Amino acid sequence: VTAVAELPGAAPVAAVPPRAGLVTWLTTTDHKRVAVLYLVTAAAFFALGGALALAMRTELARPGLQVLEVDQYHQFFTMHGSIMMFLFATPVVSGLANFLVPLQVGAADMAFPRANALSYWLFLGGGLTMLAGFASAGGAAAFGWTAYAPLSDAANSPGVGPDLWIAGLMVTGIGTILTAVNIVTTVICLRAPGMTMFRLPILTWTLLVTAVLMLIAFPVLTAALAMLWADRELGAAFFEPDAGGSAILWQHLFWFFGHPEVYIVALPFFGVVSEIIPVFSGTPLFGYRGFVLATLLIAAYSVAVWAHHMFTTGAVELGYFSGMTFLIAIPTGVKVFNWLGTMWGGRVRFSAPMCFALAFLVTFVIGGLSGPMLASTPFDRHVHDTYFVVAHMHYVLFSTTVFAGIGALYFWWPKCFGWCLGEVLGRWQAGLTFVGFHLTFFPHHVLGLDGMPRRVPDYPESTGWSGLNLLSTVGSWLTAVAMLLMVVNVVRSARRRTPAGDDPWGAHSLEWTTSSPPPPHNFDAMVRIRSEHPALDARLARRAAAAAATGRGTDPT
Amino acid sequence: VIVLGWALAGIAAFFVVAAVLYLAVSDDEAGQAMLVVSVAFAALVAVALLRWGRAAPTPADRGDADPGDDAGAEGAAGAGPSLWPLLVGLATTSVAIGFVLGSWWLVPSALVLLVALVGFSGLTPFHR
Repeated sequence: VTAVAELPGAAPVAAVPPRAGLVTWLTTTDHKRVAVLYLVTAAAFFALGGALALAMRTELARPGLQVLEVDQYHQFFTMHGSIMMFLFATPVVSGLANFLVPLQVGAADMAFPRANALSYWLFLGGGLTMLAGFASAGGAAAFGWTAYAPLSDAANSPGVGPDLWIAGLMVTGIGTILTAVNIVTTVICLRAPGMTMFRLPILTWTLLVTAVLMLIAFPVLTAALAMLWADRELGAAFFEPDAGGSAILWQHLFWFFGHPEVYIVALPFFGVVSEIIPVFSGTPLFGYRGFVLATLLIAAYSVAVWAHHMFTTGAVELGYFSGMTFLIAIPTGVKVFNWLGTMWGGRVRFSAPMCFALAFLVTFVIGGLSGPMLASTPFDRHVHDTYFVVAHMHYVLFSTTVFAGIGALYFWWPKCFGWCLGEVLGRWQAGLTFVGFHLTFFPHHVLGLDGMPRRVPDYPESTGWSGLNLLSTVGSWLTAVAMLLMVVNVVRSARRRTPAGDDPWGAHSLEWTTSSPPPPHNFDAMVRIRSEHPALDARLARRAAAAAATGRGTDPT
Repeated sequence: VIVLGWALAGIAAFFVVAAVLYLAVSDDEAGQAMLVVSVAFAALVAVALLRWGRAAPTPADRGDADPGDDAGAEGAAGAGPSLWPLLVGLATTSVAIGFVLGSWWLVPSALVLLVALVGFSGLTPFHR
């Protein structure tokens, strides 16, 4: 790796990137451009998945409404879940990793730049293949994003749509595996001198552990999908009980992927807020090594708890999976105390990224608390397949991928493009998203406890669920408006292009020591790395030098 | 790297405990197999990292290393633009669709994928 010793007092000169044409984007292997491709595409898929959700919430606003046909509703909830998990949440992680891992470890690019670009094209191709089912005669897949057998077999889900879902998901999965290989190799092999493992920025640690989880989980999904395809098209009988197979086997294979997948889309955002909270609290992260250990423990536990999604099958060992699931709350709780401890010892600034981080924290803790409730097998039997589970998964997944994800966007946008997003509109967006989200999903807890099943397009008036469903639908539209504020903010800020400078936040990690946007090779000059917050160290050193030159003291924070 | 090796060794040790427990309490062969394979893979990578980290420590693993200490080391410096990733991605997607539509689509797609993979791997003089 080419590295240039720091030139005291000389700020790196921001390179003005040439305007990129279509060919540049189609042939790029630059990790920063690949990251932008990932994030823009994932945002488009998010908009589509959100539109499907809005249609479903509108259908459920009042009993008897017929906005969607029953078959359409089944396709919509299947593709909403599939899009959000596979075409939004997971690729956003890949996008974040693409942009930030080389910059945070001091590398010029990812370890395998071409394979990196290939990962993106596989994601896009697979995603469009999954969506192509909507254009087929029988419509898109309609068996839920979990594709449980025997519902997903050829007899119960005939047509091309389900096959396209399987084929597309396999292609995106291969892209994800390639991304994981790239992340792990980059972190292991391309760190800058002095960037020891315990000096890695916390986000890179979480992305590294996430990549390891991807390598454990995604091959199992790919194999399971191949088996499902063989059942449907070749007459195999892996999941056909009548022919000696086992429908439960699909659930084991799917959840052996599916539960780590929850952490694949959560751990990186734990890393994101662990970068944001210290910066806006004016202090390093409280308990860095404890946080790393907790991340490793969560990853390990997440592989061993897959069948807690299967309690009601009567075919799994309840004590083992219940106990393991309760244990996972311990390292997760450690992280919450890391974040609280950081704010406790600092001076909190409520900038837009911090507002999103706080929205994440509150929402995630509520979602985290309903996790151990569901780990209790008697309680799980009561609420299994009800809206309580819908509430829990959205509290966990929305808090991480959307609250922390948008927080990441506001935080690293200046580094990526060299200009800032509007702060005031950002804070309004955080507040409106928070209100909209909780209006949408908090009522789901009550509806679930009352027995409202998930994946139904209607419910009788006599159930008394109308009021809470209407409230939830209003909340969902409010959330949609909040998402539109993001678009408004990007457009307005793009017109103004307020220069960001290299480090607009007073941040801590290595990427803030280079120009905004970074030059093609990322660093014109590499600072000396002596801790996990080299940008903070460099800033303190400059202040100390300036104070010494003027004969005055300096504030150590 | 040694830190990561020990971290993976710890994860492998946890998987050993989980697998032994699961083998004792459950007759689900799929779960047993997945946990045993997880132990093997985690241990394999842990041992490889520990051996490699000790045999060839890099400036990145030295806390007192300075910028430039890795001058001359091989690293990613950008691959330059290339059309092959896009072509391999398109061809792979096309092959996957071929499994749905039939051999009339699958066979030509597989041939395109083969050509694209050769180009991607840099075996042609016009790989850029």
